[in-house]
Amino acid sequence: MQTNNLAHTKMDDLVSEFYHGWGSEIEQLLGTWNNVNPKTGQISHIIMSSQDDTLLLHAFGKLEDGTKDWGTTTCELFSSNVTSTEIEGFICHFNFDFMRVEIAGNMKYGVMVIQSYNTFQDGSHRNNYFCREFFCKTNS
Amino acid sequence: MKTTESTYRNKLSQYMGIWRSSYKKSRLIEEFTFFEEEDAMKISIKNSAESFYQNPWNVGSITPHGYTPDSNDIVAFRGHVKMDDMEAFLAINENKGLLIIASYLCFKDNDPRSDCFVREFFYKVS
Repeated sequence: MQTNNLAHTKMDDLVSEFYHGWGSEIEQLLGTWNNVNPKTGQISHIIMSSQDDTLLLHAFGKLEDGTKDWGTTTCELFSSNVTSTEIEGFICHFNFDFMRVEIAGNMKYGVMVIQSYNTFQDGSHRNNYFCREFFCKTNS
Repeated sequence: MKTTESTYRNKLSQYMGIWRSSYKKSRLIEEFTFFEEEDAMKISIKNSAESFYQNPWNVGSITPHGYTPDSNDIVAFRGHVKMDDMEAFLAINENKGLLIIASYLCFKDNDPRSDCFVREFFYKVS
């Protein structure tokens, strides 16, 4: 297949070959990831699991007393370029009635870096905000 | 009412204990311990299994640093560890619960090994 004929928006969208699978094992992402900041007011921990080759993210928000279970959502996987089969990041989102949380995650030397983009939809005039925090598999 | 010194000491106490590398295949340090000895902050270091430096580390000295000269927030540490064959300068900074250590290693005398730099991430275990 002439891959140069593929639709693209920039040079790095093009590939010389097609890659169908992920080279790095999804298992490296699975398990419980705890926020390394004990004083966080964001996500306290995340449980990553898989089902039929789909990565699932289960998040828990930090409350003054305990945590709030956000439920589970599916992740879309990313590598660092179109020819790489290494899983380097993922995106997913949670849609609550009053707000939407977009999550972009990436791996760095065993640390899961989670960026959350928080959008309020309730007309409360709270500013949308962005946060970046670090998670480790602290039970391993 | 807390004095500046006691506030500083309280902030220091949250750093004391064991810190482990986030990366299972860490290049140098698997874990380290911050502890207090004779009113001074110290560090003891355990090599990773795959570390290119396999000799035991001596206990090193640690100096805390604030963000500004007039603040008592601790955001970084400076460390020195001296061994017979190598000296390490450790530039340590905190970022949202992670400690990031940039290690600058200098081998002594006529050791043919290159002086090198390693940057690794650590989370608190206990």
